[in-house]
Amino acid sequence: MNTLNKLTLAMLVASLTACGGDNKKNNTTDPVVDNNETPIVDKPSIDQQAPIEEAGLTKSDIAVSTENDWYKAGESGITAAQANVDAIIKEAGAAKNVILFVGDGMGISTITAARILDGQNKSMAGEENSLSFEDFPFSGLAKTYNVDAQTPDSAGTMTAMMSGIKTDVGVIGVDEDIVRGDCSTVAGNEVITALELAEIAGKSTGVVSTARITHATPAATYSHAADRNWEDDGDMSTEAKDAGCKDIAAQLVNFESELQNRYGVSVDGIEVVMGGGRRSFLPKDASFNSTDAVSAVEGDRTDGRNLVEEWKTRYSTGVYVMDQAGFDAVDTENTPRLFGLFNESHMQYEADRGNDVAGEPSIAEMTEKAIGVLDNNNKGFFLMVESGRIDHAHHAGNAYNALNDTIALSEAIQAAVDNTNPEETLIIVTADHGHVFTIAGYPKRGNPILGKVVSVGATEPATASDGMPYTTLGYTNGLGFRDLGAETDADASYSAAADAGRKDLTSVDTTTPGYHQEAMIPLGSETHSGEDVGIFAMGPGSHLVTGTNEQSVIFHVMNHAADLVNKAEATAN
Amino acid sequence: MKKMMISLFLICVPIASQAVELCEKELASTYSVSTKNSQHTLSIYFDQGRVLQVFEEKKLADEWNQIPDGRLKLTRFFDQEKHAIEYQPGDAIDGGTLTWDQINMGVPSTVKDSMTLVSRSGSGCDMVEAFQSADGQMKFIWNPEKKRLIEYQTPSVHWKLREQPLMTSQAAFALRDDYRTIDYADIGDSEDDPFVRKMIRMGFVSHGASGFYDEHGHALDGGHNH
Repeated sequence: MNTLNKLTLAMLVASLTACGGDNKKNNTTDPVVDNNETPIVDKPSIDQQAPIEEAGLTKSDIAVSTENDWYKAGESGITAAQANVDAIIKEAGAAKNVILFVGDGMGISTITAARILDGQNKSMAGEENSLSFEDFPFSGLAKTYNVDAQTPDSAGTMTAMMSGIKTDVGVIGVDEDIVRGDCSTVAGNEVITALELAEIAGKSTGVVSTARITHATPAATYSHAADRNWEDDGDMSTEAKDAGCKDIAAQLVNFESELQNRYGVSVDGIEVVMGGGRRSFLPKDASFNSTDAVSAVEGDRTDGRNLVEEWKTRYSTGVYVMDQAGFDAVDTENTPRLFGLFNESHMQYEADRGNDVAGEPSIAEMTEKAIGVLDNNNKGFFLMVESGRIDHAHHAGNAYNALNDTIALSEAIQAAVDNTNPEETLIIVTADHGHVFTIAGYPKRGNPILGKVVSVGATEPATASDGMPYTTLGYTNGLGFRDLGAETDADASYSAAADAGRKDLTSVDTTTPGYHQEAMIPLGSETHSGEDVGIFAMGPGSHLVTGTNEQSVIFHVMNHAADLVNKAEATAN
Repeated sequence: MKKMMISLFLICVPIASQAVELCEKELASTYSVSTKNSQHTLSIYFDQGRVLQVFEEKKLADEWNQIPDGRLKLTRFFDQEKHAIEYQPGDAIDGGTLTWDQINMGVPSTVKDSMTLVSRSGSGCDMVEAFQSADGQMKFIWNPEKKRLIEYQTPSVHWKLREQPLMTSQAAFALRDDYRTIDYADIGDSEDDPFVRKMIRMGFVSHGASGFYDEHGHALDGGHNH
């Protein structure tokens, strides 16, 4: 069954290639592995054997190698990679659409562990599995540091990706000349973002996040602020407000006029906005509570403005939704504009969605819906989709939710692949930063990734020098051990002091949603890491994703692929 | 006597009406809480579905509300730092065993289940019931109509309602209205905030609604039910 699924995926990829884009691996080259068995591959061609014979070797001399399925798989992979390079559409501006997926905190180890968990959920050994974006033809690495920080935060890193300019930690859409929290330093230091360029170029634009839509990552697509915490006016100092700075939620709702005023251009505003964070759009008054409010007073705004109503007034043909039923009712072909705020704060973890009061769509559902609205524009679209809660689960020291939200992101990316034309759509998948999350020990192949280490050939958990078993997954720092059983809300762990160091896990089921891995250094919250993150790409211009790059290069890949600056200039003039 | 009478069918069939008595909630109560080694002051305030428990000596306060599906939502105020942390509904605060009843009274009314009713005085909204354990070491006195604790005693802790609350409910809520509030899930992304940095260093120690701790930081047994 798993092989069948894999083959189906491979055939899909092949069919996409046959459509003319030819920028993905074809189905004859992708190794297919079922559980612990050897890969299934096509036989190498005669041409591929020729160099061996020219070297004075016969086929039989090295048959042990060349007839090995791993060998064949690798050989075919090289052929596919060559075909990808040959077939990729390299011309600037060939991408009509650009979709940027950001897994917040989705470092390399998170991808690896999620890949294994996803495989194991499908009854595979797991290691041989691939998340959807791992089949993309091009990949590279991004150096994530901020201008002033070795280990970065989401604000600085997302600003780099969206604008091509690295900046300080904690600031949104402004360059490094900013002084964090000082409103007076904003003016003149705003950088233009890929979303803004796409908007000026006449494309449709969209922002989707499972975090608050005013949170750092989504905010860096559309706003400019001296502090990532300025999500609503209640979060800002009187000085900042008096100096004329606008909060992030207000900037979102006023995006159209703000962009027009800043550059003297004519734009029509962001078409799709979906995520959490309703609190920053509503007055601090219980009478404005939504039907699924969980706080006694949902709104946080102190200026009395109801930004949801302002949006509705401005875009009278648009659709505002706040729950699953409203979302499901949206007809994308007849919806010019969509505004969805599904939670007063962050949306739920994927594993916790069932506990939402009014119901929330998955990130895959939001992605598909967003594309359905955005692709009604024949000039194309720019869409950013963030899986924002991978980061939160890691901060709480809970691998279960981090990995399940990563798998949910993978499904969203597949939805994007399935609903776009690869010849005209650049899809980039990356992370803003990693976490101090490790895959360690020497577990045997297929060992449950959330479980305790069981060594090769063994059936019982291995023990450390202290005589106690240990898990494969762990954190360098953070809250440490928690055994909350079936609890699917990772944040539940914060209610007690950090409990770092070794624990006796002999009778603990470490695969449950509520298990929080051990941590070495006790901190009230697990931290980001400073290591590089992966970049995965498919579609026109994706060949530019290669090697180790400054994170800001991601903007330039998008800009080259969609020719954003030139098209924006042409439209503006 | 503060009493609100809601009479069903009052206008149409006054003679046959069934009167339902609802006792007006006391919006502010302050307790002296004594343990073997310490004295504490706990105030409980109410406002439109919100319950605020203020731990005076600890300079901490917990605001609770119950969402329609029954889950409890907490916002924890740090009075010294004028900061607050907002938790998600259902987060397993204090082990996840806190009940709405316990939050409203400080001590869960179920503690009386193992005791015997020894006296009942007054009537209606002024009724007072006293319960006592068989060995006489535990005592629970409350106003059942107003769901208000008057006294609770175990070998390790003694709660006693004061004559006057420390402040009005309105003042207690208003005092904390402008605190900077961050989401629980955002702690990890708020390293720039000195308050959060301090908390990250120290850990988010649970103090709990009924949580009065011994000198070693261990919750006192018998003082609460979790």
